[in-house]
Amino acid sequence: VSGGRALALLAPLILAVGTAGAHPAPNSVVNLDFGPRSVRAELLVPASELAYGLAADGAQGSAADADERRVEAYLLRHVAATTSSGEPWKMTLESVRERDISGHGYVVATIAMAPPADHSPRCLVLFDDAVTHEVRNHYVMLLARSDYAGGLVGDRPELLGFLQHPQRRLVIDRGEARPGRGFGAAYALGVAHIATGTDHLLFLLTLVLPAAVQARDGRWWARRGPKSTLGHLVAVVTAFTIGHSVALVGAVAFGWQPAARGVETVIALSVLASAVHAWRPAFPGREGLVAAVFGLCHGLSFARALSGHLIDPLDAAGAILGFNLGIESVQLLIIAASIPLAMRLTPKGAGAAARQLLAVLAGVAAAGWVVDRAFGIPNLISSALDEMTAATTLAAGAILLLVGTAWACVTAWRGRQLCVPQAGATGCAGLDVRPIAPIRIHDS
Amino acid sequence: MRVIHGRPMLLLACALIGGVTAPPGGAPARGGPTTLKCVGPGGRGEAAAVASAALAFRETLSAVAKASLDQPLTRAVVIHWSNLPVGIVPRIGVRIGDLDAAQSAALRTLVTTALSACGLSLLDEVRLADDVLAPLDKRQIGWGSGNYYVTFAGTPSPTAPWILAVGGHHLAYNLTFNGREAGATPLFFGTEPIRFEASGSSHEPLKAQSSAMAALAAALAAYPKARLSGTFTDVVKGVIATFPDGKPGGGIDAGFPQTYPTGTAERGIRYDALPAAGQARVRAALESYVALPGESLTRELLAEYEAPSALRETFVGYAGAADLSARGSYVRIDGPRIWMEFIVQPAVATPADLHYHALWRDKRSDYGGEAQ
Repeated sequence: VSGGRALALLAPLILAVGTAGAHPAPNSVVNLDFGPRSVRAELLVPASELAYGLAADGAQGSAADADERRVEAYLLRHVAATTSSGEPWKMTLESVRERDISGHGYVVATIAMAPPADHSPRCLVLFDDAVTHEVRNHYVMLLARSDYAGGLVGDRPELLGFLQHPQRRLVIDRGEARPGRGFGAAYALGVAHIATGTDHLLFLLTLVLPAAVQARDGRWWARRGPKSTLGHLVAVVTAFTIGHSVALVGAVAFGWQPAARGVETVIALSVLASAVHAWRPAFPGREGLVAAVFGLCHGLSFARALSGHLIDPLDAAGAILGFNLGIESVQLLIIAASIPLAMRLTPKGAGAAARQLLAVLAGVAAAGWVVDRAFGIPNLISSALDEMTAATTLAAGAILLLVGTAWACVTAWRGRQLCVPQAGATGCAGLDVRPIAPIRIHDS
Repeated sequence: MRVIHGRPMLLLACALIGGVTAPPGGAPARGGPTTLKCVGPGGRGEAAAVASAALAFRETLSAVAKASLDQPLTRAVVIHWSNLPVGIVPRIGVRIGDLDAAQSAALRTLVTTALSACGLSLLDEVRLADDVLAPLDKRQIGWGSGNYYVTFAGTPSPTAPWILAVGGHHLAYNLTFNGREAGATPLFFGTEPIRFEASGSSHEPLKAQSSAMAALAAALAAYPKARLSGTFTDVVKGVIATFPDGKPGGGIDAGFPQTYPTGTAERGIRYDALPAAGQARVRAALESYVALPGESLTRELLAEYEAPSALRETFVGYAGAADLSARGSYVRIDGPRIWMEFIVQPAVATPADLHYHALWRDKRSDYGGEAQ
């Protein structure tokens, strides 16, 4: 057991019953993660209340036992599982450690629970009277935290029930295992998450505002051809996808969990960087790299929507894939909707004005988020943006598409009026603006 | 049978309440010590008068405040009370500290109409105690007399059901008018500090209830059967912590409807097994809780609680120190409908001291039967 050292630190805490907190009498939680062959239980037991349970059990524990051994033995004595017909599951205490939650000391224990051979891990009777066998007001809140085959892959647990003396058993039936449910739920979660993740979409959209222009001497100068523009778009979106996918795998598989506030602040800054770049080239030719690096940060933020508690690696892989595909679907939809408009954002004239206007709008949004996230000051801008729903995102995408298409049509129509007399049957294709090398007088 | 029994019971209850609410020198309550005299401007909680005071208060508010005040009569709204400070469990409704003079006066009329003099005084005293804690609020959990809220679940009406909720830290009045059942509960109250000085006078918000419960526990100490097994660190049927985002959030009444002990095990001693003096203390203790809402709300309830058939099935128990002098001291009255608890806990602001939690539930008529 790896918790020995942690428990040595815990001993005085357990003895100091009733350390002051906002909750003089906090309660226990059991988080259950359902895997294909086993269930993992994470027990959170408030140290102040556990002390009463240990004391009441005093006769059963030898005084010579070390404290950590007593806690381990106590938990295994008071937490058990059986099949519905009463055959015991194998309970293995994996770790016991101490954690401070909202100013109160908790003992956090992880127990691997395996059913007898040929029994489903999805159907069990859980017994838990730790603390409640002694403390009459204490209760245990039982939550299903993750269950891939049952479609529970997000960050919101499902309440299974409460146990308070004299109740000490709960029958749990998670239904049939259907791995497709996990994948589907992860996909839906990805779609929902990105559709309401205005900051992620705005970063990407702003980054591709200058997709149709090329930089020279610190200015957006020349225009790209349609093929080159599309290629550029694909490169940027792919780089972003690689970035956030790597982070997502890292977060789910290896537990990368930097502070949420830091991550969210960097995301706000990424929008700002995109906005500056859309105004004037800040990192021309390196959009892909920027998209990938900031993508890492966005991925860490995505990961919080996905449960990090799936115990089976294949389940976790399926969840990441489904979630990522959900995110990708919406991203591609929005980017595709923005292509006609991006094509019109030329280096000069109305296109430039529109690009700069959009850059300013994105910059204002980013500033609102930075103020909110970095300095903890919610403001009109950030609260309005954070209230975006999937419907408003869809509407914004539709508006992008409409404006871009209308603009393209108007341009094409006006182009015909001007071009037809001169270019005859060839149309205006030959007159379309191509990058022209500027004449440079003071070239070094 | 019903008529023959019902009428005297009602008269008895009226006489009792009369005893409880009468000014000093009024008729004493039947059989035993009168623990509570509610002297002051409290009202009777009559549905029509409360509805009209409620609507008058509502009229003084801005459109924004009205929108906060007006809530639907749903389970989700009414269970959203807590014993915890508002920084831990943000409340729904209008914050009392935000009201101007005219609005405060209108609210005063409303609570005076709805609560007895005892209930009104409890509201004032509990809020005053929170002002004593406010300077010690280092974690900004929202202590202070301004952080109390008023909520209407449903629309105030002389005939249709609605709930008046007034509460904050250590206080939750949930008064149901025109409900399926007469509804005075759930009613949570507590205090920290237990006693204090403020503006030159001494205060003890739960004096009536703590002394009545202590008198009961002292009477029970002679009976081994009255001692409840186990440890008590809070009231048993109080709020339940929610866990948003995987972290323990503050408790609300998410455990409603509750299950209660049945049979005779772990419920203490039967009322019938006590001598007359002990029985009187049971009644005095329960009356100290029942006296808080206006009597129109509690008349039927008290009659039912003190009906001989109900008292025969009523159990009383205690745990910890019978003089309520230490943490873990606990007293409970548990009848066919009545569920009253009193617990002594360590204080939160000054852990060396103690503080009280008390809860009155009715197994049948919490929220007037309107939140099932």
